[in-house]
Amino acid sequence: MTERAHERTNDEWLTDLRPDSPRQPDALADLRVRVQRSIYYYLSQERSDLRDSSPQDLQQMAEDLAQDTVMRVLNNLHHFRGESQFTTWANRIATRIAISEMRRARYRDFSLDNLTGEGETLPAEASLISEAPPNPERAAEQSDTLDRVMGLLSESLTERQYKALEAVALRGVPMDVVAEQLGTNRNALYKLLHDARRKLKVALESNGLSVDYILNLFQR
Amino acid sequence: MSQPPATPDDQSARLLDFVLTQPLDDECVSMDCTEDCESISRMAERVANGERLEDIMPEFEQHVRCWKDCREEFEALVAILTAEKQARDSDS
Repeated sequence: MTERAHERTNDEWLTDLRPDSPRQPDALADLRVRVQRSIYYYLSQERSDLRDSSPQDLQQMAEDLAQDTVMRVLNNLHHFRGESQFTTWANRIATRIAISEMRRARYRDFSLDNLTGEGETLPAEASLISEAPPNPERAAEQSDTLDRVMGLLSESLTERQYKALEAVALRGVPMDVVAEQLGTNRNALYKLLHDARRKLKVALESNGLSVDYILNLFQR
Repeated sequence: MSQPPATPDDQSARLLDFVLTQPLDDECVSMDCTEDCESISRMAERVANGERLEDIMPEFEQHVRCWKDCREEFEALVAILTAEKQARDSDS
């Protein structure tokens, strides 16, 4: 990462980016260059899923995302308290925007409504976690336990909790995508999933399935 | 970072891990990873400078261990800051 833009202190960034500052055009241009370089670095060096993209495509992506970042930074200048470097804060916003955009693009066809909740994602054989294949008795016990876990999952959780847990924990769908489809935000989704996990743990324990028993069964 | 599609084994292991082994600590869960960009920025700076996240803020370390989306975003920022630091070091 080279070609560093003019270095400013945090106070200089805040002053220069003000709408009434004569230096705002230069500051905006420097900020855009800086976050665009960071985003390009991230896309080109840290994203294995983009390794087949051309440098031109990645530059275009970085340019678009940098534009969005600069707008977001300008709209949130009043939130900046100076705890970190201003440019780190801008890069934090840039990475959030970039990663969120890529998640949305990847899951644009995903719909929570299409989750069946029938547990078809679980295998018939339950040799899931242990390294070595279990013996037949243990495999049967694991399979039976997983069935009970899935049964308790659907019995004890609300539909909203079930869908969120299935999407995030079972299918690995990004939280932003799930939150958007549930009409909420990521923080509310944390809480929803937290409550779901707590309820499920209580249900497991009250049905004789202790955490220790399950973890031991799967040799964690 | 993107991964190949999860197999049923992966998914089931992930479910059990998520439900049974991840922390249920209220403070960890309620951490505001989406809004408090500045605290996270400061932590990322310190990690990029060689400190360990578990030493700086164990509850946040637990949080990003629990939530892969937050971890991905934090690691991306640390990677960028580390690259910037290396560029600065090689210039000086």
